[in-house]
Amino acid sequence: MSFSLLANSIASGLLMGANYALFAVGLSLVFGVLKIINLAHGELLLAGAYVGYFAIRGMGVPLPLALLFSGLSVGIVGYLYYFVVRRIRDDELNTLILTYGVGVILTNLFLLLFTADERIINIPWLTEGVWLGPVQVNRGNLVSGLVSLLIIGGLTFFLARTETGKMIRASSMDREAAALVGVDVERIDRFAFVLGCALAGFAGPLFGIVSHINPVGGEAVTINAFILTVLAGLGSIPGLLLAGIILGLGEAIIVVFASTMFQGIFALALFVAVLFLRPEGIFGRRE
Amino acid sequence: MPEAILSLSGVVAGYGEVVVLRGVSLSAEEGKITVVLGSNGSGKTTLMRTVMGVLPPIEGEITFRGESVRGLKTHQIARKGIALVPEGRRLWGDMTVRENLEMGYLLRREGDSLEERLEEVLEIFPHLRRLLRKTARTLSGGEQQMVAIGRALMGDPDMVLLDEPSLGLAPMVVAEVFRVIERMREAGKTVLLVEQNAKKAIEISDYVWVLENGEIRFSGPPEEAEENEKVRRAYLGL
Amino acid sequence: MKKFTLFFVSFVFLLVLPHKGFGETVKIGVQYPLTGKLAKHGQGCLEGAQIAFDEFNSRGGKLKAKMIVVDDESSPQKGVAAVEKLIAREGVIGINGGYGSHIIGPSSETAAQYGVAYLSVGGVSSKLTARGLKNYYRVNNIPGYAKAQLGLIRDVFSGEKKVAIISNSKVATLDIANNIKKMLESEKIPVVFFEKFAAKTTNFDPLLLKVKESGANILIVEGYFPDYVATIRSAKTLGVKLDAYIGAWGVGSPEFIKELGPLSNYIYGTSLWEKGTAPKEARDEEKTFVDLFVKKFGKDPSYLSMLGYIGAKLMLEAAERAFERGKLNREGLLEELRKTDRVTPIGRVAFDEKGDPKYFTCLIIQIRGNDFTVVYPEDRKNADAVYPAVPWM
Ligand SMILES: Nc1ncnc2c1ncn2[C@@H]1O[C@H](COP(=O)(O)OP(=O)(O)O)[C@@H](O)[C@H]1O
Ligand SMILES: [Mg+2]
Repeated sequence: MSFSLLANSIASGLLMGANYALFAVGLSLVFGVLKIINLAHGELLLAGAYVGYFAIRGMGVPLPLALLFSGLSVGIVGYLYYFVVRRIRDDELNTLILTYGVGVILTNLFLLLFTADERIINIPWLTEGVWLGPVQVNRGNLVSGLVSLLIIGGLTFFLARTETGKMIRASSMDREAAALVGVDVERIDRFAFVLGCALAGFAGPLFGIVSHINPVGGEAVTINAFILTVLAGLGSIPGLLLAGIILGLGEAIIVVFASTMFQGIFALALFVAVLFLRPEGIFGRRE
Repeated sequence: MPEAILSLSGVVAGYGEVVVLRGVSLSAEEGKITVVLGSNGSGKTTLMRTVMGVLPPIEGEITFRGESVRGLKTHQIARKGIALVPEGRRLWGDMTVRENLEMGYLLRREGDSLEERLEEVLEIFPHLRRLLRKTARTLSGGEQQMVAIGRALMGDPDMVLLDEPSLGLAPMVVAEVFRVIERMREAGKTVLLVEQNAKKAIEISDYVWVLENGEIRFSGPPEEAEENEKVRRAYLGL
Repeated sequence: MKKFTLFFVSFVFLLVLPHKGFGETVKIGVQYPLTGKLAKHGQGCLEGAQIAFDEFNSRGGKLKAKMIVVDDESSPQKGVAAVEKLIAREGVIGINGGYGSHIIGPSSETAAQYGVAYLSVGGVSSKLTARGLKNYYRVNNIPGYAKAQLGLIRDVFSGEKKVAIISNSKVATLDIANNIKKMLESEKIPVVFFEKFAAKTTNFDPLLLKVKESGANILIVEGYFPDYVATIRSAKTLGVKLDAYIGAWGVGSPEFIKELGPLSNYIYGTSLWEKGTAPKEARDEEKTFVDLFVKKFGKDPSYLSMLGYIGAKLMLEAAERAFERGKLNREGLLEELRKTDRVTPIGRVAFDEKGDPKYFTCLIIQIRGNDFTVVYPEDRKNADAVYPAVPWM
């Protein structure tokens, strides 16, 4: 095993980890604030990916604009979706069934509108490799990883520093206490839910760049996002980045020393270990 | 009773099928300290939460300054100028003391800036000044209670509801809490205090209500309460 | 008594004779997934089969054929029920079809219990012919994919050859990978790297780095669309120096070329049939089929339709021979099917004792711009391979 193999694998794993976090951030936000596991998260992300696909490949829209457009469109979908979720949000089982159902509906809608064809958002300059010191990484992965840092950094700042952000945190920690100081907790819920959906949509085109778009691929995205959310600790946004990196790095290094066949076991072992040793998540707080 | 700022009449409330308040009528006079006594489980916390709109009343009427608040959302009631210091304090554990206090400032309606309000609260609880950057969960019970009261005062409310603020605190801290409550009255605020610590509460009160099993069993001025046989036996241990 | 016997015999004679003389109808079952996950594949095969029946019935022979279609709904259980129905209720003496080894497996076993021939065109798993069934035949199998990849490397590529093989860990792809590895080794072509990867792998960089370190100049990827996309992307990112990138199924699909664009250029893949690739002996048959298909459906046939056509046609030809022998029943059909040996548009078809096609080999295609060319085998190609070449160098 050479230095370049190890160093390059680490770099690649780090980037992949950052991407994982980006693809999970919407679910984590909604889970943290509303305590709802949005099982349609992956499908919303795919919806964003499809919007991005047709905007970029069909109309030649530049990537940053396509990201905003996807985020906005899926945000609108999230707004409508919230009206349904709101009615049953207090019953955990019902929200699981409902969000799962919305996911199934979206999947079938994709199949109907876009057929079962698999797609990728193929932007030539993003398929190149770039040198970062001694290692070579994919430019698409790099761009997506940087956007991930930006989104997670921005969201962390927003939650920590702005008044709305603090209202979201307060409401997620103790809804009643937040309402007692005058926070309109229902508005906050709606805002967080729509923001979570918009973030999923925003991440969609980047997913289409670093991975591939398959109408039935949403479930895998949701599962990954859920695993990261649990690893990170309920609603911890910076924790999401670190959890993603641990996963991405671990997966890459395992290939160096063994094979991809152990990636699944690694992810599962990490998950089980965290559940047993730190059920509150790696970065969660013990209550 | 003249000039009741808050009044409840025939309020029935509870949790789902469980009725806790069975037709409670009570009122609090502006600028006075009104005390509600009641043993564990008698419905005191339920009463507070019903006033704040956390629990919708099944029956009855609640008015604040003569306007019905029934059916309003919690944040709307709070924004009318009522702050509740809830049972168990309910601070945001992951936030700093300063952030907890700042959240209380959301209730301001006009006037003072955040810094001015913060100064005033810190003047009432000088001890908190050193703790501003600490995370709320790391504080002692007494410190947390001060933050909880401070948070309620940050919004400069007209009326403060306190749900057993002395529960589980050391005697010195209890004394400070009661001093602060008296200061609120001096500042012209209306106070509705729920307590099991009856002796102290009656001492500072202007009017006393006794809640048993979700019903009002006694009401009267403190002197009368101290004379009342039932109150003496049940709450003063005499 | 004697009078009665005479009467009876002549009655039976009368009943049977016109039947023999003026034509008979053979019932053949055609089972495909027409709904559900595999519907697209099943529909494609069925369209081809329809052409075979049309052609057969309009040829003017004494034997007519009745096609009885059942939908297994892409489900193994429904497949078994469909076979039961075809045999017990409809009285078919042979069954054609099935798509997906997991459906064909139980379906053909059910047919075996009745001694009814089952000829499939969409079940490639090695397990299917390892069961020792006497009624199971197929026109394509896994080694045929590996054989084509081997032929490309052995006969078409020149110079030093060091091969790396990576394979999706799914049964079918791993099956091809193990086959090609064995074949290459027995041809003394060094396999310097062999690794399977999990079906859900998202980051292929570390694996491609290992391929790079192995010093291989030819990479075989036995996988699916996402695997090709991710490995090509990683190879490009990491500048893996290769002379050829060889995939398996799915490479020649229109979506592959459309989605990858220039990144798909020079990539090799396998194909069962493309228009104009029939061996010399079967050119006419191919043309007739394509013409009939276009006339009936108004579109060009896909490889699936070609497979469905050949499967049905071989079955009907066996029925015809059985009819001529005067043994048009389950056993007769089986015996004749076993004797099949002729050159079809997908190459020569004859079965070994397990029911596997002895001569089956895929085509190798190579993508060029927005289209692809057939570069192997020699007698069916329409262009020379461009070698060495990969899209990222
Ligand atoms: N969330 C709840 N759900 C159901 N019953 C409750 C709930 N909270 C309190 N209760 C019941 O309501 C009654 C009054 O409780 P509470 O108002 O907390 O009394 P207090 O504050 O006077 O001790 C008790 O019998 C208690 O068990
Ligand atoms: Mg209580």
